[in-house]
Amino acid sequence: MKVHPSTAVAAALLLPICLATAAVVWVAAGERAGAEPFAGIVPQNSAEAAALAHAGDLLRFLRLGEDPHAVYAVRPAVISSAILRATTVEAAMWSRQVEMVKLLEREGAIDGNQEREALACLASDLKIDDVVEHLAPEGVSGCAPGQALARVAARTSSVGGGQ
Amino acid sequence: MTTTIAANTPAAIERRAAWWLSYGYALIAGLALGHFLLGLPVQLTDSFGNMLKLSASWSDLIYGEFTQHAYLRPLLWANLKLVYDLSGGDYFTWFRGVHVVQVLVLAVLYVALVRPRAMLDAALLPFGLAVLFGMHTFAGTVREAFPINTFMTVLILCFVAAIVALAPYRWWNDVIALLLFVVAALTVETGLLVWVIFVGAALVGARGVSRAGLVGLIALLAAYFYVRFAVFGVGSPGLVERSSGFGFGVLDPDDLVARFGASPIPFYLYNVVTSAVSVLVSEPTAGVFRVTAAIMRGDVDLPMVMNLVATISVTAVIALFAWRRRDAWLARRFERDDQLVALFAMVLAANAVISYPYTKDVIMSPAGAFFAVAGFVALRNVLGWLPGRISPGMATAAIAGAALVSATWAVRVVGTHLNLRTGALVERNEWVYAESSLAEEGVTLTDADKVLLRTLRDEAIFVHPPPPPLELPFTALWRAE
Repeated sequence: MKVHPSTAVAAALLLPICLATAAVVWVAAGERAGAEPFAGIVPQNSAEAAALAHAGDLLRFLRLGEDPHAVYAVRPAVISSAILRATTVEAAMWSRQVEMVKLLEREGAIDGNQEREALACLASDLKIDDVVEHLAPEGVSGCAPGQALARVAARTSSVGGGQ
Repeated sequence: MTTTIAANTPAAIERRAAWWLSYGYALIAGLALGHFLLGLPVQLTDSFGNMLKLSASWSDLIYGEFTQHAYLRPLLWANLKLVYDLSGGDYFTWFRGVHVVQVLVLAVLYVALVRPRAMLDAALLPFGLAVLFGMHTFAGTVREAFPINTFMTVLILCFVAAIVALAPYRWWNDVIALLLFVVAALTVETGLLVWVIFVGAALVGARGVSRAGLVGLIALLAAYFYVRFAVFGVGSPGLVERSSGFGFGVLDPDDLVARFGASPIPFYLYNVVTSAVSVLVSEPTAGVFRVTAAIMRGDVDLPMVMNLVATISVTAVIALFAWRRRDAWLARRFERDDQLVALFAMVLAANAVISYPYTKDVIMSPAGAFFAVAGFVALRNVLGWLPGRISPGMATAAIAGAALVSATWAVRVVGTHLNLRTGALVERNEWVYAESSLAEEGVTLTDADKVLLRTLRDEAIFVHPPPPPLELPFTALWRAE
């Protein structure tokens, strides 16, 4: 049976768009049913939310009672396979956003000069100048380069201690 | 008996099937878009400030619109106030719910306007809806809200106007036409396009509205300008109202005044021309020649090329349709599809003129919506003109070209959804920092304002957490979105 050219062209116009619509409908229907098709990384704790700069999720986890100083498991895709355990305030450094640090301050999660200095050292190791300047306006002097980062990374190879 | 026989002819059965398939597809596509819309919270930007005003009384709110400068939008505020009062404090459900209903209504009206008559039409309808939802001018109608998107309201009113204008005459059409004009014109300035649609349709032979109705519309338009400029002195937006794209960048109001304060006409002409071209080519967007700049820098990316290919292809089909129908048009013989394409041309021109003070993609959304209408009807006619026998080479080229163009629109329509999903996170982050960002802007909130802010923030962050971000295959296709 010969197909009329207009039918063939209409089919060529129909197919890609129907596939795209089917994908969108699949996502919408899946999410309505409680599944998460094509989902990217969804933060599972406050440390992951902080690292991903998901401010809303971070606030939600904190209000649900998560401790910003507790060590949480962080999936490799969030920071890197070298950093799999971090506290929320540490993880916030990997967001590379001073706003996340300010949010944690606002929520009372960063207190005391000692903690500010430790975080400033970590930010310095990660070369996040605006965060270093915010946490230590006078500059960081008491930290050996790379030490703060090594301390966080060391937890990855250790067992236990996380939540 | 005759009706029963007619209803069971193959043509009638095909028509019914096309009808059901088209409306069914439109509703499914609209519902899917609605789901993504529900991922957005009530926004801080544009919405919170407006909502603070909604606690005022109806009379203060509406009268205030007649005594301000530059904009005359009393029914926009009436619309917001109505939903605000009905919500009883459940703002997310009501404002987002209205937005979803608007999307569904728009999708259904699109089908009603293009009237799929055969299975070939039904097969082309997904393409038409992809153009409607995938146009860059459409993005602002779903991504933004005030907290109801008034541009979406105007799209709906414009489609209703076109349906009424092209319908057989009924006495109530005149009443509807007058009401539509009043509602649209007093909602937002682009609502004046309703007038263009009714008068334009009459100029190309549509008789849905009587001569008396048209005279009434002309009188109402005159009254609108008299009230706006002579009675209340509202005027029109000047250079200082907001930033606007120009050339390869965006000029702030101060820059605009410095550059065009003495003679704004060239700037206004630039806005009119680039607004029209933007719909036909997707370049410039919001007055900025981004693709041209990228070509000059030598860093054009795939999404940019796809956008151009997608839009120019539809423009080419519309141009081909107009060329083939030129003799009939010159003889003033207009069929419904001719009228729809002519309406697009008129809406495009008028929409561009209305955009003279500053350029913003969403202002051109009515022209973008009628572009999708004209594209569909042109396409079904052009396909109908294809001869039954063409060479294998020609057939292959036509099929490959169609698949390529369809793929570009598929990417664009998915991009609209992805844009909403990205916005779901961005808007919530804005709420987290709302208090500090408002304080930095020098905004002082009363206790009642703070209660509203906390309510909206808690709704956005705690009651309706963000949906998951999406990671689709071939992410490079959406890099520019």
